[in-house]
Amino acid sequence: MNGGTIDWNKIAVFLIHFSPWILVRILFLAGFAAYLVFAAVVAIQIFAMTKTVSSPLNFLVRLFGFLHFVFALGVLLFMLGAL
Amino acid sequence: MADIYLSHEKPEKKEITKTAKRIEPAVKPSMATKEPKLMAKPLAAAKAAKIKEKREQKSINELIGRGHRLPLGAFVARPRNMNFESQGREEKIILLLRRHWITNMRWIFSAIGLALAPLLLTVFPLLGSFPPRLQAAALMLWYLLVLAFTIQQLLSWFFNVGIVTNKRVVDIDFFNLIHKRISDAELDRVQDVTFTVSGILRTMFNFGTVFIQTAAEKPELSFEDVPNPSLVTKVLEKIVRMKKQ
Repeated sequence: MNGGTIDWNKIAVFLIHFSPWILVRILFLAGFAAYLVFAAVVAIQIFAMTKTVSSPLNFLVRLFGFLHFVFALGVLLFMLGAL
Repeated sequence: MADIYLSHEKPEKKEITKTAKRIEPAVKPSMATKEPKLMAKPLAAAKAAKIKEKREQKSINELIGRGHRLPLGAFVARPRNMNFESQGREEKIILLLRRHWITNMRWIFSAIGLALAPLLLTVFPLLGSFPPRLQAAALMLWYLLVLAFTIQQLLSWFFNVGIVTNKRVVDIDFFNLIHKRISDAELDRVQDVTFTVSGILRTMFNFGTVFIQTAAEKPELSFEDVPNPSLVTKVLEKIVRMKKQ
């Protein structure tokens, strides 16, 4: 902006160099982040479920929920670096 | 040689008993010694109740059989080291029921199909125009969604249980990951137990739905697609009959 006027040159340069793949990358990263949220919900719900019905497999199920969350976090971090 | 007691020796024995009798009044008499008849009745009643409970348990165990105790099973009789949230102190789980394993085949085949779906990309290259990194990311996201679907179905099968205890019937349902419902009815309030087995698959694999009509707030509980519904019904009817006697 220069004295209240719009700098169309800068906008034109941005549009020329703009790649739609950036949007696709953002969408994919949002997808991985959503999966991380899902993994957190699963871990919390496993805790609630094992409290409601406890069995000898409680420890394994809870461990699975935790490892699944760690896996989702690892995937997101990996994709943040890769994409 | 046999002992021969002369007549004058006999009073010694009498003296011993007399001293024993003298000692007794010095000790404060307890209820048991003072009124043995009063204490005997409730003790005998408790003993009789325990014997009756053991007999009932034995008859139920004979009905159920010695097998089916794996925690991953769909029909778990007298499960070990298992309990639920609102279980009472003297409440014991007699049956723990889940949907028959064959009901999982639908989502298992769906998951396998979804996992193999990316192979179609070799025939229909939908992601051909994507950069290689984004193709890999798309594939990774697809398999994460398949994993999410599988986990949700597995947890739903494992934790949706019907429980029969020596005091009540409990139905635990998790509709999705954030919605659960627990319904229960005392055995005294169970009015009628019926079951249905309909369809070829259910008839072949012997699973069906058990309906329990109650006089509780919720008029009917149902255990859907449980294995051996006739045995479940028999056990429930027996326990209810015993409870009402």
